[in-house]
Amino acid sequence: MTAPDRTPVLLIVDDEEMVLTRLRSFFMLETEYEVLTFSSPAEALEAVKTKTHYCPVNDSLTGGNRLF
Amino acid sequence: MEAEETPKTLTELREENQRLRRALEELSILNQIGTVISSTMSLNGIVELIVEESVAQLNVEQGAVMLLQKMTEGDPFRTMARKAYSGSDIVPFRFGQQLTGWMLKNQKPLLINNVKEDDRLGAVSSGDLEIRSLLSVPLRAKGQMVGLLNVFNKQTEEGFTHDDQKLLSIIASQSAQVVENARLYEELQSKSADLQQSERKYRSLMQEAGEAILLADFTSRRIMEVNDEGVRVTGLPLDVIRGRPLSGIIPVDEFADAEAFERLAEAGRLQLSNIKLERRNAEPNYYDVNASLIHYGDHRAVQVICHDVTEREKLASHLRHHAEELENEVHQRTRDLRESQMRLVQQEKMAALGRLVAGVAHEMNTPIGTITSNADTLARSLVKLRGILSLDSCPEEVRNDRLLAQVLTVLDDISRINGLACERIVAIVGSLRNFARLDEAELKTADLHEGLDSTLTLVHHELKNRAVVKKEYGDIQSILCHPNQINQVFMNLLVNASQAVKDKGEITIRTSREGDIVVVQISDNGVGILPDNLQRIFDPGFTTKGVGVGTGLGLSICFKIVQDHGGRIDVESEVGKGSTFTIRLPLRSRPVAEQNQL
Repeated sequence: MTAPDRTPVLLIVDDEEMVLTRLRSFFMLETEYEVLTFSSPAEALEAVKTKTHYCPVNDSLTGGNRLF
Repeated sequence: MEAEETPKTLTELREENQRLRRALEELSILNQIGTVISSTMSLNGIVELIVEESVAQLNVEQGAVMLLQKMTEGDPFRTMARKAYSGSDIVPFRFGQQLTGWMLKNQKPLLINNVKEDDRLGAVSSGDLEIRSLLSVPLRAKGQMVGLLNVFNKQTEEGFTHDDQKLLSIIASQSAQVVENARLYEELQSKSADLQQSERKYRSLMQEAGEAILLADFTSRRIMEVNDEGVRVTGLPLDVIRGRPLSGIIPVDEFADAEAFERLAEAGRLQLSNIKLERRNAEPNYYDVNASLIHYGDHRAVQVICHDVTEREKLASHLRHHAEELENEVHQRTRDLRESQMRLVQQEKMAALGRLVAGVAHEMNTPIGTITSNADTLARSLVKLRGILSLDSCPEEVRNDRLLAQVLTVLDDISRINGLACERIVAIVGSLRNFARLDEAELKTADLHEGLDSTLTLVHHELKNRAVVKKEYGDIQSILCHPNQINQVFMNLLVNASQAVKDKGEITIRTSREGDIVVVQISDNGVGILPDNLQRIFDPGFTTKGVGVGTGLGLSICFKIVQDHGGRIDVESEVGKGSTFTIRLPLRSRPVAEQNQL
């Protein structure tokens, strides 16, 4: 974990597994982003500590959401 | 040789002569008695004659006939006639009781020539000393003693002889039956007079009674008497009523035939209620009729009393009428309540279904969105995969692999069909949401064409194999309404239409505008509706579908919904040709939400 990874990362949080999967499938197919999906905001928070550039896609209704 | 007839002595001849003279006298007396009896038949006259003749024939001072009075207490004899001979005063006669007592006890003639010295009649008071001698014989009719024939104070020295007794007995035996007959006849006369008296009393009572009274002969069943009230009640003159059959005046079966009359005779009386009597030139009146069998003079008669109950009947009929009206009102209200209850229940059911459908539609959003999106992603993946396979770096054998080509074809098909399937599902869910609009409590501006299309999507399953739907949409504005309710009307009419048509059915939906009114017509070329049913078709509970098929509420709810929107629904139909339901709705409905608050 020395040099920060410069690949743009999409961070997707939703409590619906089917939503996460369908978004991940689409973005992986059509974009260059690295796609990270989380069904729990806590896990997502943990993950963003190691990444520098990310674009959050977030279901703001997902329980325990403290991303924003 | 036997002696010839012995010559009669002078004494014998004299005696014979006297006997013959007596017999002649007796005959003459009897003859006289018979004449008087046949001419007068008066008991007094007969008795007087008997006494007179007895006194004359027996040469006594006085005579008396005493008749036994039946059923009388105390002295059972009544002295009918006493006669003093040749005008001398009638002697007081105080020992009657002793004499009659003796005669009743002994039932045979009594001859006393010296009353003072004879003790058979007991002690004789000084007042009776005028009676010196007496002869008494019973008067017998049919073996019964009916009285006494007495003579007193023989006016010869020798006093009463046995010949006197014999003569008096003959007079008694000859006259007793006559006296008894005369007595019976007089009794009869007196009874008849009593009867006439009672008839007069009856007539007077009849007249004075406030009720109408008719009297009919039992045998002929014809009217004999009627009182003034009866004349007034029947409205017929007295001479017209008399002689008429009773049943002609009081028209009841009980008076009409002889058999019924016999039953009346057995029961003795008959009571009938509320008999209607027609009156000339007047309203009919009602009477309680009370008939009873009475003796009127020597007739058996039926007395009919008519008690006027017209007022009572009027009141009763008024009350009955009133009660009926109340009953009807209660029925009507109950029916109304039941109808509105049924409608409320049905509306509540529809509302609940609407909520359910809306909830389901909402829940389906995510999975349908996912499938739709995945179908797209799959299609894109296939494009990418084909791109990879066309690269030069792709080995030839991979590119030409037959199995790979088949897999790609399958994936293409699936991707395409999934897409179409998703579109269909999205359309249906959209229709469901549209149909079951949850904003039911509010009036919304809605496009009726949109509502019709949503409804058609939902009843697609019902219609697809039965009928072709032709839409002839005109230029109509959106209207202010409760869209979910209006959609429900469309759905009912479309389902009915689809059930009315057979194969090659056609359902036509026309929309148009008439000023401020929007018209929606739903026609079918189905079996049509019988004219009788056409009038009841919007009645709650009316259905021609089998039990368990229809609730009979559909059209009544349609009617209510359209009515609540200030519109109207009409139906035209011809059996065998089809039916057309026409809905007219104002562009701006009255607010209905308040009206629904019951």
